[in-house]
Amino acid sequence: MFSLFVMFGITQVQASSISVAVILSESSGSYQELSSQLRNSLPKDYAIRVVGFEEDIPTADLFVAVGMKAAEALAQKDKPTLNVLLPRAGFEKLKRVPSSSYSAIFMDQPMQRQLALINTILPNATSVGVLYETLPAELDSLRKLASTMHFDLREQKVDQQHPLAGALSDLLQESDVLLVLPDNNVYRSDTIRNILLETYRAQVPMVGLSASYVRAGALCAIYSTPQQIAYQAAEAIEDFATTGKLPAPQYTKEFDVSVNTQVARSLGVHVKDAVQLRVEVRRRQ
Amino acid sequence: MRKQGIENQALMVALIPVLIFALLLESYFIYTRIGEMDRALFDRAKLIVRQLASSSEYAVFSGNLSLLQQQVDVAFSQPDVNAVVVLDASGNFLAGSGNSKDYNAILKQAEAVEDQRILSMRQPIIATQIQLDDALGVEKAMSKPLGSVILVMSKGRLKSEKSQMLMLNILLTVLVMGLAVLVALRVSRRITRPIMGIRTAVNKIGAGRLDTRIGETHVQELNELAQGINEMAQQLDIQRETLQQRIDEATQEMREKKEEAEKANFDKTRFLAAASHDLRQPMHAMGLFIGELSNRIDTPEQRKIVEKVEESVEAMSGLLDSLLDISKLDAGVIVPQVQEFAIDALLNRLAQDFSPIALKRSITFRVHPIEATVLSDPILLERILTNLISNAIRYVPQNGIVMVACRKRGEHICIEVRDNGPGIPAAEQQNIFKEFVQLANKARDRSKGLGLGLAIVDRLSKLMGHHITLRSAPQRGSTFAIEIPRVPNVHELLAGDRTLHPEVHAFTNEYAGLRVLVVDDDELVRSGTAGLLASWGCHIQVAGNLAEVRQISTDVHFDLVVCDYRLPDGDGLALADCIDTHCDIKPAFILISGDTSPEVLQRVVAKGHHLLHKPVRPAKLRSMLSFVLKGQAR
Repeated sequence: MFSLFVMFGITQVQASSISVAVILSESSGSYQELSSQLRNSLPKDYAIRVVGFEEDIPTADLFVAVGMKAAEALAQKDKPTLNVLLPRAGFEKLKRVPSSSYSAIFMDQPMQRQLALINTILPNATSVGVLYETLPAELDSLRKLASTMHFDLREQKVDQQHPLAGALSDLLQESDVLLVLPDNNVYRSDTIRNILLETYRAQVPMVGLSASYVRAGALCAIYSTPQQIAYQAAEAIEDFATTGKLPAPQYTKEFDVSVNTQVARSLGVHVKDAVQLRVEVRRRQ
Repeated sequence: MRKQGIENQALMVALIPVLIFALLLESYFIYTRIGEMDRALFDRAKLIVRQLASSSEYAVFSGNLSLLQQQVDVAFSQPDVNAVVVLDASGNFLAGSGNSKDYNAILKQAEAVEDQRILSMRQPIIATQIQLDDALGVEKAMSKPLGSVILVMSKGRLKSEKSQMLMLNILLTVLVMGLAVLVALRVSRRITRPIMGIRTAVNKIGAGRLDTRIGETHVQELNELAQGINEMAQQLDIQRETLQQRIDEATQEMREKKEEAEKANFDKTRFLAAASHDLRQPMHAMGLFIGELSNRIDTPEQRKIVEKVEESVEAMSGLLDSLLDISKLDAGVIVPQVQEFAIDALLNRLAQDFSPIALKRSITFRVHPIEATVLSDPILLERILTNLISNAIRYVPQNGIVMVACRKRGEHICIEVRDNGPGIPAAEQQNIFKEFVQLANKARDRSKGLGLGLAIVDRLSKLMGHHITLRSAPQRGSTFAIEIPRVPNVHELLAGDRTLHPEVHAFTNEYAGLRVLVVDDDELVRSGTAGLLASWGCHIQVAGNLAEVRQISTDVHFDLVVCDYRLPDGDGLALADCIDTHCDIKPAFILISGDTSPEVLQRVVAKGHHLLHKPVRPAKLRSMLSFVLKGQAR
């Protein structure tokens, strides 16, 4: 509240309107929601244009790439860009060196936050299983964090010798919880049901990536809403308007926790209220 | 077109619509039912395969083969399922139930396959999609099927159900048809049976059974018809009875008349025979006495009187002879002695005999004989000609002409006696051959004869089979012509013209050599009949009763049996039966009965024999003999 007040005061003091071009990977869903939230959060005198990534890129002082495709499209252009709604691994794949005019707000949650959630919701869990086909970028930091937080990290790679079902089955036997890492080859819309069924059979709860995981049957998930991301992006844009610099790439500050109480009941896990959990996680990270 | 009975037509009227309707309905029903059954099997197969594909998703994903096998087994336990196989995405076998032969064959086949025996179906196992709105991925991998389920359903039960349904339907159709036939037959018989009854009754009436009546029927129109026929039959019956009664009366009357006439005739003959015979003796004596008287007469006046008496006696004697001849002829005791003789000799003798008489009456009398040989009885023929000539001389007026001419006419000789007398009207020509008919003698002058001459001529010519014709007209004279069989002379025979006439010999030898058995218990009748038959040239054997007949050697063959109806040890029919059973060649059979009752006649006629009633006159016996022998020959 304090910072907001300060920011507002600064803009009022150094009023300098800029033109912002919002480039969308898709004109629907969370992309659309985020862009409209962003427009609402920015001062009225900002010239904001929203275009699809396949359209001609208009001239602007700052470009906001929403989603991976838009980020890829803008990565090649030497223009001040703020990337939002993309995972950290995705940003790192773009191979453009972050700078004061090239930054990002990651949509995925820091591993520390994830492990804090596991700690909160499953205090007795010691071994955390992760499943992947391509080596996730977060794995290194996860390994370090796990050891510091006294978690036993169990990794299982899916390949020709270990097909998904077998690998998952093996992994679940030695894990207390399955932590989902972003991997399009493993967690897909057509595999998620069976993966969830498998975890349920093994009585191993899953910690998902988003609210849709929770709806599909994961025990819980920690994530940032488009509104939260838009708010943080608006801050960064106003910083840029004032200082001409973007903040360094960062995770979202605000997040939500979602819990599937039905799954919790089925697995015999006693869970707290989602709001309580969020407070707990924020406190622990 | 063939004619159909009412029953058949009614049957067709009832059956054809029912048949068409039943067949149409049945085919429609079977067609839709079979379609439904096929569709039901297909739908069930689809349901099972889809259910299994969806339920086996997790088991296939997780590779939980035991779970998969359980699910497959559940699907397999459904009726009609022959085989169930679950394959993974690359087509490898995961689980299966049923006949492996069945599913191995269809592994290669795609989608649904259907043939006469099986229905197979393939359903991919596709994972359930749950949208993960995480926006973490750039590329969205296309979801691949996890595997596929193959289901093979057997059509065996379906087939048996189909055939069962078909059989049931055919059975129903047959039942319906049968019922229709029964109903149609029953209805049509209600009409045809009375018609048949009427037909039978009409046939009976047609065959003469007029007492036939037709009963009540169920059909009103037929009732009316039957009533009409009944009335008609009744009318016919009444008419026939009336007619029969009249015929019976007439027959009875005729029989009585005939018997009367016969009796009268018989009496007349007997009287004549007796009278002429009895009169002969006194006549004979009278002649003798007159002879003696004339010797004692001296005066010419007395002599004249005696001469007149002598003439009268002579005339009376001639008349008596004629009477005797007629009676003999009627009694049939005269047997013609047929032989060949020269006709010219006979005619010359007649010319000599009649010339003086003709001269005395100033009548021209000429005879023109020809040289020919004829076949006849010379004495009887002479008698015929004598009668004809004396008749002509008697009726021809003075200075008239009487001529006897001969000429050949084919195989006969025709002898004509012509005169130029008063002639005979056509109306009288038939009567003149009757006894005592004299046209020009109303006063019955005895010098003109008794009127027996032509009667005798008629009987004699009939006896010998000579045909007599008369050509005459009033005032134009008369011509009597008699035809006599001629014997061809030597020249004719050599020319091979003709052979002798068989019918002449047949007549002359008609009964000669005929072997006859006479059976009669009355000695007098037996000997009389035997004598008569013997006089006709038959060989006779006699028997008094059946016992005597049996004693006659079986080797002897008879041509004819004349038997009394009533015998001491049986009747004539018994003898007839005996002959029928024992003789190979059956003789002709004549029964003679004194009993005129209709029962006897009926019994004899029923057996097919001939009956004569006593007293049997020789002519009657002769004609019967001729009749039965001709029938026998035939």
